[in-house]
Amino acid sequence: MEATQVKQHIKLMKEILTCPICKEPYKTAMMIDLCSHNFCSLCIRRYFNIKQECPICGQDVSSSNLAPNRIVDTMMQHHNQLSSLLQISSKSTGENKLLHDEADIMLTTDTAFNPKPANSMQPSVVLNRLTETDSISSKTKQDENDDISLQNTPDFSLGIAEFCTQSQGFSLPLTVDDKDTFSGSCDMFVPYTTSEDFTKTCDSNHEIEESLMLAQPVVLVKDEVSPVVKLSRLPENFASTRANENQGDSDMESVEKTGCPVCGLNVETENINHHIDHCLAREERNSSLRQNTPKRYKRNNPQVTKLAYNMLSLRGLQRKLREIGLPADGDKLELKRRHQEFLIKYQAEQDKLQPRRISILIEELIQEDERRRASEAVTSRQLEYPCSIQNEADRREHLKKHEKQYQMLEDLARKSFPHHQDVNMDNVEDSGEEPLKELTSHDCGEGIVPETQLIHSTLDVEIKLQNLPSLSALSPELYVGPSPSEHSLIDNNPLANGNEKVSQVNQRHSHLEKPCCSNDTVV
Amino acid sequence: MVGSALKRLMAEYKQLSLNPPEGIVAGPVNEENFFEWEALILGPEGTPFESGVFRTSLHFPTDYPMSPPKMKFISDIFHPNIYPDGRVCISILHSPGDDPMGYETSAERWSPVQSIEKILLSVMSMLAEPNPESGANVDASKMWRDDREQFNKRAEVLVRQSLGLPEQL
Repeated sequence: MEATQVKQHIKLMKEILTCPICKEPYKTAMMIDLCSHNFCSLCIRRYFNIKQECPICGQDVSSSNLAPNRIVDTMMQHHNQLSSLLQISSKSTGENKLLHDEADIMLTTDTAFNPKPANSMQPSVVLNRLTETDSISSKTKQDENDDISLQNTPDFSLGIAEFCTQSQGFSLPLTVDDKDTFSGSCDMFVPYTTSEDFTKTCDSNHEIEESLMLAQPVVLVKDEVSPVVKLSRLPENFASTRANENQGDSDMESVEKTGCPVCGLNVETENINHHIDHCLAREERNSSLRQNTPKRYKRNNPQVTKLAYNMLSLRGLQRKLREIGLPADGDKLELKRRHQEFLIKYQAEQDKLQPRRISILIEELIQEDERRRASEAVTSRQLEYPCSIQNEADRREHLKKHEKQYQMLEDLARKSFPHHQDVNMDNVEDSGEEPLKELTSHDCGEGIVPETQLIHSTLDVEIKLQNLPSLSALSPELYVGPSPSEHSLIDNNPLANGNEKVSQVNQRHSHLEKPCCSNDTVV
Repeated sequence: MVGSALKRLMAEYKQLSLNPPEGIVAGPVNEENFFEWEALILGPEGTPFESGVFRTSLHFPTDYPMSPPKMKFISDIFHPNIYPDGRVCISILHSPGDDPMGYETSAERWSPVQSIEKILLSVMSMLAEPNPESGANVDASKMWRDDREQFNKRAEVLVRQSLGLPEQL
């Protein structure tokens, strides 16, 4: 497939994996069981606090209709991996060789252990390799199921030898066949895989225990092939029971054996009890992993439940908050809001596969509270600016009052942009009694002009120019607008201070917005 | 909560500026405060409001997108579904809880899956096709129903006003 096509599909996938409420990738996707619509846990729980219906189809549902949709989360992970991989392959301009070199350097310098910020893609790659290793090693494992040592397979070792010479000391659990089955862009990162795998093998990471023990035979075989692999000799505690058993199978034929009733393996009769204990414990762990989610989901923690806020006194509510460990300051409304927010957060956390501790949640909530207060302060300050256009009488009055200041501003602007003087002169004089509407409430003489207004006026001008080309025919004078050079001057001139900027914008603005009663060109 | 509102508003702003719908320009008034927006709506073609550029302001609550924003026309406008003070009466802006007119289905009303773009497009189509049944401006509703010609004239005056053109030719 073409690289662009791949990217398109990835993009499409990203759109599908976007929560319709927050418009961001799903975080702990939850599905409504009646209509199959998916949302982030936090998003949908927040909405249920306002109204208990599906935001998409309006079906009456409640939080008991929510169920975690783990498959979406898993897909999300894989999508992220895929897109980061694609980024890598596009960065390396699609050349295998480049990747080889890169990987070589990484091996020799051991950067894989402490990734540098410069190599930003590295950590993700390390993670990405997990699945790859699993599949590959399981393939190789299938080959070895009959306990045939790999050394005895001539074409395989040949493949490795070839590859090792090509890639200078690379040894990999990949057979050449494996490599061929990869297509297109995947092919590019295969060599990368190997080096990562082996550096990782040296790392005593618990997460990769499983893949390590599966890959073990391969590692042993290639011990002689390359110096790199020597690093990857497994720590002893990683040797899995299964591997031990396999060895036992081949080495000590004479020892009496019994089949394990749980896993079916032949184990020394002496050790069978110990083995069965181990097997059962593992089974239990696995099954609990599988079944835990719905159970945990249904069992709402009794400590944190919804409260009938209206029935509680302020003091009662404070006590409840303190019981949880939340700050209990503020009025009742604030306390109610805090408790609700905590409850939502807590429930959303419980939906996760691995919920964090409550203390972390509380900390987060307190931080968020502070941020909210700060932003509310900003909002209320912003609201003091009158957004609406003031009426004509006010405007004229203001203009009269500040006429001198406006004049000064205009002069200043003209001085600093001498080559625009000719262009703007007429307009400025024409519109002498047309101050910036938005500026009426501010003292422009001091040059304190909120950025807001600047954005306003420029926005207006641009929009009119862009959206109404047909109107320029109606009144050419009106839509002359600023030339591109003017734009750039205003936007880029580092010397232009607030006053000059305003004045310039003023001119442009009034130029466009003034009523053109006196203008003969208007039809 | 503020954080998620901000994130979502930024995402929508990005979307609107990368891929703007025809005849609509919208963005925060001030980059520091994403909860106050202004939008310009072009009067739809083939309607009395054709070519007019109407300024509107949008105010977002801190729990956006759970609650809908408030929308107001800054430019003068005479329309059956817009209150004389500029507030817009349109079902998509009514929060799911309240139903002032008592007949909207919840599918028409605000839900967090709606977006600013959808609001503005709805307002645009509202300009094209007023709904006289839920009159916010009774005079406008009446005129629209009984004396369409005069309504059109009035709209034209407002269009010219919105462009800064003289009222009469």
